[in-house]
Amino acid sequence: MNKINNSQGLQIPEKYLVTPAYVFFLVNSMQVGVGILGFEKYLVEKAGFDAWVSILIAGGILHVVLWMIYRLLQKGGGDIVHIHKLVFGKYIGGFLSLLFCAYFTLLAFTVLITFIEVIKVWVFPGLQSWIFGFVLLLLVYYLVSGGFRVITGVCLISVLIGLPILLLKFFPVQAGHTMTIYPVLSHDITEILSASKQSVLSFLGLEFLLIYYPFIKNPKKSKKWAHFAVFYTTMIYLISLLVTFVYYSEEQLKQVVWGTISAWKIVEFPFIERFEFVGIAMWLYVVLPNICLGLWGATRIPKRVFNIKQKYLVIIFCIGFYIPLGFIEGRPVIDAINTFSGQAGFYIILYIPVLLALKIISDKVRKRHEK
Amino acid sequence: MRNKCLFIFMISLVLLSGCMPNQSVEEVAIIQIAGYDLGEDERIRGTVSIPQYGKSEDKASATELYLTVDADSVKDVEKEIKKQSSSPISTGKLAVSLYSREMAEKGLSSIIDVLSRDPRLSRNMYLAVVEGEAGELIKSGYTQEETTSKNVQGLIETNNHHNFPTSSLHDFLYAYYGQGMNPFLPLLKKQETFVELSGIAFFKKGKMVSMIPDSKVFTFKMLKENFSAGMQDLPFREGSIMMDNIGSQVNYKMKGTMDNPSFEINISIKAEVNEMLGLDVTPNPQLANEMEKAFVDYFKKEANELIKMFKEKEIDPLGLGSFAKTRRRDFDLTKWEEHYPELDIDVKVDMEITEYGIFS
Repeated sequence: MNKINNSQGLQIPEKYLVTPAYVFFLVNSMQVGVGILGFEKYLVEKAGFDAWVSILIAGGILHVVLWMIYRLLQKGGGDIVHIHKLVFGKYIGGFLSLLFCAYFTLLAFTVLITFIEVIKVWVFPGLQSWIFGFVLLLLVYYLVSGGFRVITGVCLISVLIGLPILLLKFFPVQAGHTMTIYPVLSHDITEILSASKQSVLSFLGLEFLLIYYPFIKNPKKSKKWAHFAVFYTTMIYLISLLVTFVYYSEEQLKQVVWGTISAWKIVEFPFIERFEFVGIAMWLYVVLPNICLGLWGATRIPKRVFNIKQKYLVIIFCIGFYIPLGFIEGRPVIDAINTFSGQAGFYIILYIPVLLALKIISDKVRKRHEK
Repeated sequence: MRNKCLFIFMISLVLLSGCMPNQSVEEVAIIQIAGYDLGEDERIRGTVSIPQYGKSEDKASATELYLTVDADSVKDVEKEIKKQSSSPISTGKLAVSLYSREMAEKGLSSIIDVLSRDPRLSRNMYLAVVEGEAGELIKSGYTQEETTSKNVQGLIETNNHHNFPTSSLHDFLYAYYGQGMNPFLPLLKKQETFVELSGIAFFKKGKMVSMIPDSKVFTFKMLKENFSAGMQDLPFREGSIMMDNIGSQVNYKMKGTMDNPSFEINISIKAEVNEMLGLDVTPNPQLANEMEKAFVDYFKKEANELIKMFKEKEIDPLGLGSFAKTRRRDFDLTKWEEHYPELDIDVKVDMEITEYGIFS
């Protein structure tokens, strides 16, 4: 019947689909989040000022991963839940899908608490997390209950709002020392690769394709847009990193917790003295789709596994996000959660090629049986 | 019904945000300049000035309130001042922070930590070392039109565009934390009725170790950065000439391996001569050549003296170490620091005098 969506096993009515070009915004806005505000420090700790090579390597790896994801989805049809069911059967597959759900939940939650911490440290030291969290989660609930198309719209807005902030990189470059970026590679390959691993962590977000793929109209055409998005993200990260290299000295950067926000401090207009306040406020729009899409992905999986209405799941998850908000405080805890979710994301990335291999094998076995 | 509830809730979200506690500018004590001296018993004596807005009828006059406290640390100064102030203190507009020379020689490390940690401080603020008491400098109001903070801030800012090298908080922190470079700050001196920039103070690990007078500042800036302003005078024949810099460029070149490094500093200056005092000749190409040669010799001599002083004190305000680090793979800080006092640095100056003003 529906020739446009040729994924087997899962049919989404056409009125819920989005056009292929929106995949650009979906992938890019999910990749750019709170990570970009302070990723420089971790890279420089590992590979010094050679970390820009690591960014390029990480970008290359992600293109390969993206190719694998598309290969998996195009052959398998449907989403990750469907593929798990095909490869592992109903119970093990369901369990693995729930692991993905836990990971998406963790990702959304990490973004939420990290952003609240940024507001606390930089703008309002006395901010009550539970009040701000309540209002923010109300907004998130409103957007997520609007469905996938609304979330796509939020992603579009977030990419557009993020654009003018990029222009502000001009100020730190002006105040900095361009002499210090000179391509001398003084770190060995293991250090550069470990920094690459670190930067993969801040690039996380494209694995959400595994769950929203059936919502793309004419998904084959979206492939190039997804690759554009990954390329664009890599460039944004590369520029941000080079700008902080120009602006800070190496040893100094190792001690700066939020490299990008600290660099906003030098921005000065006649009508506004502290730009970082404006920047952080605008960053809410960049962070919002991260939380929304994370929550949507996290609730979509149990819906597909257990056939529960997504609406109830969203309410339950929102409450689940809300309760621990007041208790999680302080840099060490939040840093630990960030590191943990980064590690989890790294294993998810490693898991994708494994899944692809298993899928190909199981397809071959099945074909032989059919003969 | 449900929609009505939601509507009221949304409206109250918007309207109730106006119920946040607020403070108007007149009711906040905004500290714009702070000075620190050594107090008794290893304590710090902090002095701040708080401008008083809207108190007097005469709008042109600037009145200030000065508070001095003794405290154990920088943050403690803030706490002690709060005890003396009738209105809430705000440090967000702090534009200048001064330290007495005694204190700078003892070390500013504890203060630098506060400066780099506090998110409320601007990265564009100025730091300076004061010859004598910092508190004294703040307390003697100089002009009726301006507050001391505006005066000192303006002084440093204008001079950063002329003879003095740029020195904001960010530049200081950049060099303080960076490897292979050392920070410097402008040196202020209080005269009878005004404040003047009297030179540059050089730091090593947060301790002031050396200084140069303002007559040598032009040469230092020339070695440090590209700029197109500033003036330098020089005795020439029986009189003296004044040079107006219209474009100076500096270039570092590193030669040799890490075991035996050598540096070449190439400077090229374009200048105008705007004053020829006591010279009774009309400008001609030959005279220009002579002047150029006199300036080149002078700058070479000055630059070599400066570099010799840097080597003796083992400081690197030019950032040659950090330059070497970006150019050599096998850079090693301890090895570099060992080599530094015997480093071979060759300064080459190329000067071109283009104009002589509108009068021959």
